[in-house]
Amino acid sequence: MPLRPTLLAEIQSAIGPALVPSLTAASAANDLYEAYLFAIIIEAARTEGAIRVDLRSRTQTNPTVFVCRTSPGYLHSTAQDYGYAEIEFQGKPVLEAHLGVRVAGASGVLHECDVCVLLQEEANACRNSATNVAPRSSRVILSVEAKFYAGDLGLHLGREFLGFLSDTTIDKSFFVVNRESDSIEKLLSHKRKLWEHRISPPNTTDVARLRNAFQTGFKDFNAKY
Amino acid sequence: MALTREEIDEAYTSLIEAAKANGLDWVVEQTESQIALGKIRMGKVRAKDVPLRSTPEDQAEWMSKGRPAKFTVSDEYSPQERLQALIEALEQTVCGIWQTAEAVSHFLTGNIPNLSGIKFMPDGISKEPFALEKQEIHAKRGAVEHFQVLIRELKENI
Repeated sequence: MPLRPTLLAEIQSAIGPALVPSLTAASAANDLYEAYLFAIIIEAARTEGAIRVDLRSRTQTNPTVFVCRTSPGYLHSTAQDYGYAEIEFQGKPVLEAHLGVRVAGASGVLHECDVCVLLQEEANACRNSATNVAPRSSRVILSVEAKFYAGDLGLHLGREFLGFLSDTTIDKSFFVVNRESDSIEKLLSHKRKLWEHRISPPNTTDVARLRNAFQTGFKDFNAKY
Repeated sequence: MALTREEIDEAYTSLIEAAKANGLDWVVEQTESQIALGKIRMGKVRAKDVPLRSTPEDQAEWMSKGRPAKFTVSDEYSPQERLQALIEALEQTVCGIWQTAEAVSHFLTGNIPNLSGIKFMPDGISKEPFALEKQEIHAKRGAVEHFQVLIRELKENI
């Protein structure tokens, strides 16, 4: 079938109106994607039987404005009243889920977790400390490295993730991408690391698989503590 | 009838221009670096299949007697595949960002009573903050669906 003569012009003029102006930058797409994976973690906690999940900020429960952190920062930061979630399972230590916080690896080097779930007592220790303290990776039970990409991901991103894993002792660390990425998938599978691909709202089967994987993280936490 | 080479090139250029005009330079950049890398696969290659320009002919002959070895091979994208990669990237970006924004907005408004705003703010570095406006996202649905219909029509033509 020949190309409809006006099709390319129609596509050209259809792109602009379909974009949300504030979300066209690559970094905004990534920040949004992290918030999306944060939501999937919360859903997984609920499905796994959390008796309480509260979305809150440092100063308020159910804040009227929920602020997502868009650059790696310290959990105790007061630069903004950043939002996070409190998650509680029956008879278990309370957990918190955060966006974009730095955690300390075994070497003492700080690493960014795009999304992480950690013990609340560790988060409190960081918030209440007089100095800038980062949570220890050994107190993080789940973390996500989130990548929203338009094209294939460079292999260096997979290598960076392996570097992150080699210095941290997080129980479950996931590399999650919105599309397929053959080279990284091959690398991470070969190294037996956790990864998921095609994670985006319309791909319900893939999203369900990721949610189940997060659920397993909570199940293991419940068994361990 | 499949598109001619000229039509493919015209479509590719037209989409690149449209993406750049709408602040999606990074989509073009990521797609072009994917294309430059080529399609990566593992392939069994005999030494004689590998052009060893500096090797004297008699030595190349000797190497060809070896067993095939596993190499990482990069195949070039055809013009058609190049266009397909760009279309996929644009669809994933334009539709994917909107779908993600809608999912985040839906999740937070459904979980926080009286939520009036969702903000994305950096911590200590100069990065542009932005907000997620529920009404704005909702209002984009028709435009996103229209774009998706058009881009799929193009996809079917390749």
